[in-house]
Amino acid sequence: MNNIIEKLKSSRLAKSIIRHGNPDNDLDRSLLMNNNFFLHLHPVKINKHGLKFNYTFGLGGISFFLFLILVITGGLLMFYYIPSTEKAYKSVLDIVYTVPYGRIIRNMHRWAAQGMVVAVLLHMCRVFFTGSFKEPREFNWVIGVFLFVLTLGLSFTGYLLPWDQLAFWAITVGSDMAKGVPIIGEEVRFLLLGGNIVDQNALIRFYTLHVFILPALAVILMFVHFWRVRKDGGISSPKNTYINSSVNTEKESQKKTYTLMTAPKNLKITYGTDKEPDELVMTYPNLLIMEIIAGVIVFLLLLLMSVYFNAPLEELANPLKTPNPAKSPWYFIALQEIVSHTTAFWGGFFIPAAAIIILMAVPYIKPDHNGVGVWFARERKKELIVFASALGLAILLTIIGQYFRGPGWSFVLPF
Amino acid sequence: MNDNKKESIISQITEKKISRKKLISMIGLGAFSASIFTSLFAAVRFLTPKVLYEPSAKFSAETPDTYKVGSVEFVSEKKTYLVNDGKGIYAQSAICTHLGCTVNWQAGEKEYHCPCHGSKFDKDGKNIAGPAPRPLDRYHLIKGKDGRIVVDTGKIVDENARLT
Repeated sequence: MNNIIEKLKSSRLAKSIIRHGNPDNDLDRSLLMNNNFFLHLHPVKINKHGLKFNYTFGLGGISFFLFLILVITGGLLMFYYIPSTEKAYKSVLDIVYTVPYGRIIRNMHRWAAQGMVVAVLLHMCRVFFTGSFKEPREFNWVIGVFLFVLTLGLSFTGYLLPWDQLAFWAITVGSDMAKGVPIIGEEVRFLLLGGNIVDQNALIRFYTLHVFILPALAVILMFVHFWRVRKDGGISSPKNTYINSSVNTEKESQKKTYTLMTAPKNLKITYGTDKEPDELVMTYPNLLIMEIIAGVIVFLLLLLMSVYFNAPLEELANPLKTPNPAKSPWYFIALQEIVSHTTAFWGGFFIPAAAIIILMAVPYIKPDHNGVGVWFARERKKELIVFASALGLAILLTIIGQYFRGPGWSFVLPF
Repeated sequence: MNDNKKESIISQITEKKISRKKLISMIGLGAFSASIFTSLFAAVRFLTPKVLYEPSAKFSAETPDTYKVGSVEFVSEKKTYLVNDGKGIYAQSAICTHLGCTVNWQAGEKEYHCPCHGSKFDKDGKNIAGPAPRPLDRYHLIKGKDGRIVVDTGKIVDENARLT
């Protein structure tokens, strides 16, 4: 048996596909990362600090893994789902009740979507609490905020598609919130709905956004995001020295072109040259094995959840009757709670827009390098308190909206 | 581009402050950006349909004598309440002025309540609680040729308009 595998491995065909040998030595381990299209995202060697599970909790990788699951399950669902107001609900019922494994595929799609919202949120918290957004990673934080917004957008456009009561009233409220945009509010709403009322045009628009435009944007931004993680010096660590001067390295970079390709020229991180050998370890197998284990665990949890818990599906959309109370999914409840106290301008435009802009501006507000790479570093006490309070407020609003709001959005006790 | 800027560019050209190379590159850049902007315009225009297959904004309700004094009748498929308050009949929109949910008439409290964000309107449609920024809309209504009331939900009228 081993002989056959060895023979296959040394065949001309196999050699034409995989050009490196067995990754049992450091050279072939490097080539595995460098020559494999799907693995070349990784560096050949990685900082030990970045490998610690309780430093990153693998949240960025888990988000990407969930996105991959969403692409696959979403692609499968597209074979049956029909984006028409008359057939959408029926086709979802078909997926759930008649298509083999359809219920599990749909459940996986829904739970992976919610899981991605959680993973992206936690990833963002991790990056903030470890100060990893600071120079030179400021712009990657901005891209990350865009990706967070896209994740929410994908979720929003997704749960509209079954054309149930939740879908219909979420589009109604969501598109009316677009009216809050100053001056061109009505036009924005018309553009979103493809008309004046929530109907076929609106459904097909949200469908196109969900299956093509938003995922395409997300893929592009994800690749930029990952690429920049590498270019900005890999996973943050307290030992990465940032030298805010490009005087000497500039000259050096002209002699050594590969410096340009590995890290920004004013960032004094070069892979393996200025580091103690014990700080760096080979990506294969150290990081790869962790990624595979994390992926398997996430997949198993998701599968278990999809077998035992069904994704919600309300009654068929009824434009004549608003459900009471009409609640959004949990990740928009905080926004709904805000909107229930304000007009479309404040709740639908100003507060969300301001929150996103402030979030993006975070790395530019106080440009220092205090406590990078350390969870809850003391030097960053003030900014940690501000971020944690904002987060706490959002959680509080979510809890109030989720458990303390009854019919007519009146205050009720949850028991 | 304002006139001053234009003049200054012309004078710069005549005084040969701008080289031929620069001028040509400016024209090229201008043409390039113009093509980008027209393409963007076309894309946005493409997404704004000219013909909509939406139901008519007008609908026929019953004859005026159906609506007795003090009655609040809901025409659910048109999201409109027909109300007779003694001074005449008016058509009140059931679309909440906050974010477009359908308000429900509470006969006991004589109020309209919105289920989405808790706005409340009194019996005249005036916003009295919650986030709604203004009173419920009133629609234009006339007596049609067949004697039934015709409501035009596309036309909003002031609160004193009534069919008597």
